[in-house]
Amino acid sequence: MSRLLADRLTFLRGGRRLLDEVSATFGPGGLTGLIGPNGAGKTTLMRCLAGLVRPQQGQVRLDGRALADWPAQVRARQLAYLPQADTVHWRLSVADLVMLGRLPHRQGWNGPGPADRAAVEEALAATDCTGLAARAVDTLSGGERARVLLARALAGQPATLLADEPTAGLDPYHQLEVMERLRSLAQSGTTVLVVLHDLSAAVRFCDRLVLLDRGRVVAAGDPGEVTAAPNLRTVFRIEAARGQLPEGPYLLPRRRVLD
Amino acid sequence: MIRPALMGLLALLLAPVPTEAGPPRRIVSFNLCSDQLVLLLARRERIASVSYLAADPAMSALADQARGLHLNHRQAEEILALDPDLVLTSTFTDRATTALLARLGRRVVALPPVTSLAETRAQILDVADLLGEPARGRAMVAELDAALAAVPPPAPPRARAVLFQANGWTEGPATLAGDLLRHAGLDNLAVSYGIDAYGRLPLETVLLAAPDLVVSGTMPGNAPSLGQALLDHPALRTALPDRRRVRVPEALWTCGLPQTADAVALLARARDRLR
Amino acid sequence: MSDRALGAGLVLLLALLFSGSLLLGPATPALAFLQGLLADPDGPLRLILVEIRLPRALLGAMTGASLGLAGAALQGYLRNPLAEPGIVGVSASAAFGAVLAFYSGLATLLPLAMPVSGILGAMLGVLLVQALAGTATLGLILAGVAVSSFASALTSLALNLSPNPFAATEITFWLMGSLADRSFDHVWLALPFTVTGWLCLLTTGRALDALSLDEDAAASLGFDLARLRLVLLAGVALAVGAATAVTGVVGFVGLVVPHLLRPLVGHRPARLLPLSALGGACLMLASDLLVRLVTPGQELKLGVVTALIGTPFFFFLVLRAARTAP
Repeated sequence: MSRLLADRLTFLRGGRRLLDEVSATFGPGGLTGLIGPNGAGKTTLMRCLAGLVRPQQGQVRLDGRALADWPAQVRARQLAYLPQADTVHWRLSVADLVMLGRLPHRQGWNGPGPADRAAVEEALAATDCTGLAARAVDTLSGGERARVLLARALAGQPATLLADEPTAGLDPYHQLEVMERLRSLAQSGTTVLVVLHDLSAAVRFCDRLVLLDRGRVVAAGDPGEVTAAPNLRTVFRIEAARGQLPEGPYLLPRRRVLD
Repeated sequence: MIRPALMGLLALLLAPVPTEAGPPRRIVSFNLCSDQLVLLLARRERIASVSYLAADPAMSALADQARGLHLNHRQAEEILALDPDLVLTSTFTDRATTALLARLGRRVVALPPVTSLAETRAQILDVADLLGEPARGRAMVAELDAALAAVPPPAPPRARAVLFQANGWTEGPATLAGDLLRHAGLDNLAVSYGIDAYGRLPLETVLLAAPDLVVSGTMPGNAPSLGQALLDHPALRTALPDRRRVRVPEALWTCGLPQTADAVALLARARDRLR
Repeated sequence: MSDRALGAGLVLLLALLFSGSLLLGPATPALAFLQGLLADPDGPLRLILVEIRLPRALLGAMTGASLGLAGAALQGYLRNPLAEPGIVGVSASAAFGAVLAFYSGLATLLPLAMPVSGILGAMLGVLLVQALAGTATLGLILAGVAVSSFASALTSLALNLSPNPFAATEITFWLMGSLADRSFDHVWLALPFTVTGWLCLLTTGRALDALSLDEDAAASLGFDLARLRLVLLAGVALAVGAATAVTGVVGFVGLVVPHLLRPLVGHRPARLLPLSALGGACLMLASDLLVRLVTPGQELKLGVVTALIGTPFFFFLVLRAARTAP
């Protein structure tokens, strides 16, 4: 069980307020989506939550303890971060790449042990990547790559997973697959926060949404309420069609709202 | 045998026939070796300029005499400005400057570097004639011969020496330093390696040949260089005790001068210390 | 091939090349040398072996390992296969530092001044290149050319200004490197710094592995990138600075070795570190043997040989970088 708390985070860069007193709590028991238009501060918030940057005001707490007080390696075992459009700089094999997720668990000069290998296999299986294990990263398609990178984040078996647009660039099949995987992960007790641009996927798969606009939390809670028409109009400047399918709700952007 | 060749060269470089008769009165030299000959042979008031190297005690045996004279930096412009009636230099360096001065109508004489004491004698006499001081020339040669005669002759067995210079350069019998070894009664190791004038001997080869004497040049002032650091290599220090390594001040053997006899004496003393 | 087998193979090759370095030289043919040594163990051959060839072989292995290791570490850190101490100008700035200490006479008074000054030069070079370049290939090469040229010019200037007339002729040693006639004095001077540098660099392995991903991902895996930068720069400066201070600039070892070994270790940066150290030592000793065998007597400079070996790789990598650039 892991609980991540943002307490009045303010983050400034170059005189601009990228985050303005953002408070939110993320815990297990359902998938949380972070949505908002371009430049709303989603990635900045994720980086604050992952401990990569420190807000000028406020603090992030992981399990009641300030994130900055966690030893980096211990924190890394608890909390995994999957950056947006992660690049891989060397021609690693998929298995070696996913093994990088085990780095926080390794000690001394030893190579990976049986526990590490088991975790990697599990992560590969969970993302439908077992067959890719021996492939070199640069031979993967965009979708395969995104799944492998997710496997890398899962290999550390973190209690909290922060994923920044993990479905970007994926075909519909693999979008569904990744979202289903994240939801089942969340249902099995992991705290999962995912940044999404696809509002339809957000209302369909998330149990809770946080809507960010110009560095502020505009709404948080039930996906239907957060994506209510007034919010879509003022924040995203769109109107949307919505409805209900046997598999869940959907939301389809219909037109731009012109000033 | 040497003199006709030398005179041929002089003739070649003699500029248009000098209009004025008598000895040159505004002599400029811009090579270390010709500098020192001028300092030895010419009357001081006739010396318009020598090169700055002549005043450097690390290189010049006559640095004291050069002090107070105009020192040039071997540039054609500054030499022309002195309006010399005779310019002396070496065939070895600054060819462009030499050629330019000759083309501009100056009387330029380039002296070839000497490779033996015999050539040294001949060159002293030649330059003395050129400067209109033949008597001084003969006196200098007599001084040189007297100093050489004072060097004690070697006693058998003969000792083997190697000239080991910066960066592992060695010299055979056909150089001034090689001739000095011969005059000091030392056998030159370079001969066994087929080196007549200049060549390189690896440190390993020198150690293996185990010469009685390793002869190197030395400069006062100790400005460091890698090449000279080689002469202090631990292997050399271990293999040869101090008395088997001798340093000759560069100023004594860079040019052929009466002082060069001092280098022979120094080598002879090192030779006798071997016993 | 497993990493272990690869490592064992490199160790074996290193042992062979090291023995070759001890046996081959201008003094006598190798077999006669060995026989002479056995016949008269206290003769001049022993002196040649212990005081000339052993320090030369040790320095070759040490500096080669430093260059290979530093190359692999720089490449991992900058995530660029063209990063190499010579190309990015670290070697040239180290040489300038050492030249200042040596020709000013400071090293005569205080021998340690030479490696220390080389290390400071190297550090300055790394910082300058990093400030100028970032990780883009073109920027890195341009910054390296700039830093290299500037440092080489300063080296030449310092040598020309030296009062010793031989100094100016020693530019080639500093720009092209050599192991000729080095002694144990140089080994002892470089060793402590070199080993410290190696230790620094070898500890960076996991962080470099993590940097196969983006910096954010690496940081989220628990690696302190600011600390990594510090340790890595210190390691490169110590290893390359100390090596260059005693052998001059030997280029391309740090480029060729990681490039050849990378596919054999599955492109993993951490694995590449120790193996590149071994490979660097091998390449350096092999090049030095070539120098001694091809042009005995008047030795070719070591850096000439490594450059002749290395430039084709450099061309290849530049071409590939140009082709894959957006």
